[in-house]
This record gives sequence, C-alpha cells and structure tokens, in this order.
Amino acid sequence: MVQKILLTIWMAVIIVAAFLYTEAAVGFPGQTSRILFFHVPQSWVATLSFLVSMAASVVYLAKRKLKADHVAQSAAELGFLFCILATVTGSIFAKATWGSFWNWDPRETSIVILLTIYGAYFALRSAISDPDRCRVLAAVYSILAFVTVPFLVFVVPRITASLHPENTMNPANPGMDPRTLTVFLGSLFAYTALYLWMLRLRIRILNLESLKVRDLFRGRGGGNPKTENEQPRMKGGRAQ
Amino acid sequence: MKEGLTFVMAVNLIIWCGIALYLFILDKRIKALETSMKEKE
Repeated sequence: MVQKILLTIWMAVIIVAAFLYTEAAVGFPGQTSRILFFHVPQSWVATLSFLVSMAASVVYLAKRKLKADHVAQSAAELGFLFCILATVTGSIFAKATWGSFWNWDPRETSIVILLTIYGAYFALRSAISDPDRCRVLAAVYSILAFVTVPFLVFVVPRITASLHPENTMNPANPGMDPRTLTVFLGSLFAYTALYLWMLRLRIRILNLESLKVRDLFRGRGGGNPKTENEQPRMKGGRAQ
Repeated sequence: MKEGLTFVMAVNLIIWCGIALYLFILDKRIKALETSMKEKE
C-alpha cells in the first residue's frame, strides 16, 4: 500500500517536473519536446510487457501452469494498451511537428504492424473454444509475435529514413540536458512501477475469474476438475 | 506560454489522479473478492 501511495506522489512530481522543472529541447516547435517524458516510457513499457508475455508463454509451455498463462495474457493486454497510448501520443507530436497526425513514417508503419500482430493474439484467444488448446496456441503465438518486436521497434525505424527524432531525444546522447535526463529517468521508473501495479491487478482478476468458474463447475455437478487447467471457457480465451 | 504549460500540467495531473484513484478502488475490490473466496473455501 505504501509503495502505491509513493508511486502516486512520484508520478505527480514527474508530471509537474516535466512541465515546470525542465526546459523545452532546442530544435522542436514550442513545447512539443516535453512529450519525451510520456511517449518514450509508454513505448518502453509496451516493449517490456511484450517481453514479459513471451517469457510467461515459455513458462506455460514448459510447465503448463495456469498462472503463467494469466501472466502472458495480462502482459499482452497491457503491452497492447501502452502501445496504443504511445501511438496516440506520437500522433499528437507528429501533428505539431510534421503537420499531420499520420504520415506513414517507418516508425508509424512499424507500430501499426506491431499492433496488428498483437491484435491477432486476442483474436486467436477468442476464436478457440477448447481452453487447453487455446492456451497452448496463444503461448506459441506470443513467442512468435515477440520475435518481430526487436525488428519493428529497434531495427526497421533505424535502417530507413525517418522523421522520428532519434539523437536529440536519446538519453545516451551526451548533449542531453541533465535536468531533462533526471526527469526522463524518473518517468521511466514511474511508468514501469505503474505497469507492474496494473499487471498484478490484471493477473489477480484472471485468477479470481478462474476460481469463480471452478466453483460454478462444481456447483453444476460437472465433476471436479482434476487439474487447474481443466476448466471450462466461455469466450475471450479465458476462464469466465 | 507559461499559462498554457500550467494548464496542460493541471490536466495531466487530474487525469493521473483519476487513474490512480480508479486503481486504488479496483485494488480494494479485488482484495475484498479474494478474501470472500478464501472464506468460502
């Protein structure tokens, strides 16, 4: 509880610092560079989340633990959410700097492909009625989907000419203002902590849903599921 | 410019406080459900 209150205060401090403590970066129109403190951590969290989903999928395939599937599903959902947030904030930045919300820049195109790939993950989960088969296929798909992430996030936008700023906003750039770097790293930490909080909540919800289904299953006289994996599924690729 | 920045910051803060409040409420409700599930078992 204390950590959550501290995170709430920390994120509020980051928001205030992002607007009042740091200076706007040179070379960007107006105050648009301040999007760095929100857009980049969102992209980072999305990538981290897809990695977590892949790792949990590997664990599920190896051990067939329902909780690993819950982690994989929750992480994929949150990764998708943060990816959408990064796309929207990037789009706002694009409007202010390039004059249009969407330019089919390599970075924008690769993020659309990434969203489509992970959108298909949820379609897959909701399309298969057999729960065990659904979990196995979703785990395999999640691993295959993550293979594309490094290419789409790091490689493709860098090997093609892009409007997306790289050097000016790169924290590794020695010319970055120390204040900006401090707030940026603070924001990365805050977003990661927020992500972990949300992930934990989502996993607990999925666990509760499967417990509820197990109770219903017993109540209807359907027999006792012998393993935690033997649970009915209604829709959405998860126990309800 | 300063007024504009303060306005955007205030909007950001309000949105963040709303998200945090929602997460706190959700956390509390999940905890209550978990407790009732445990009591049932």
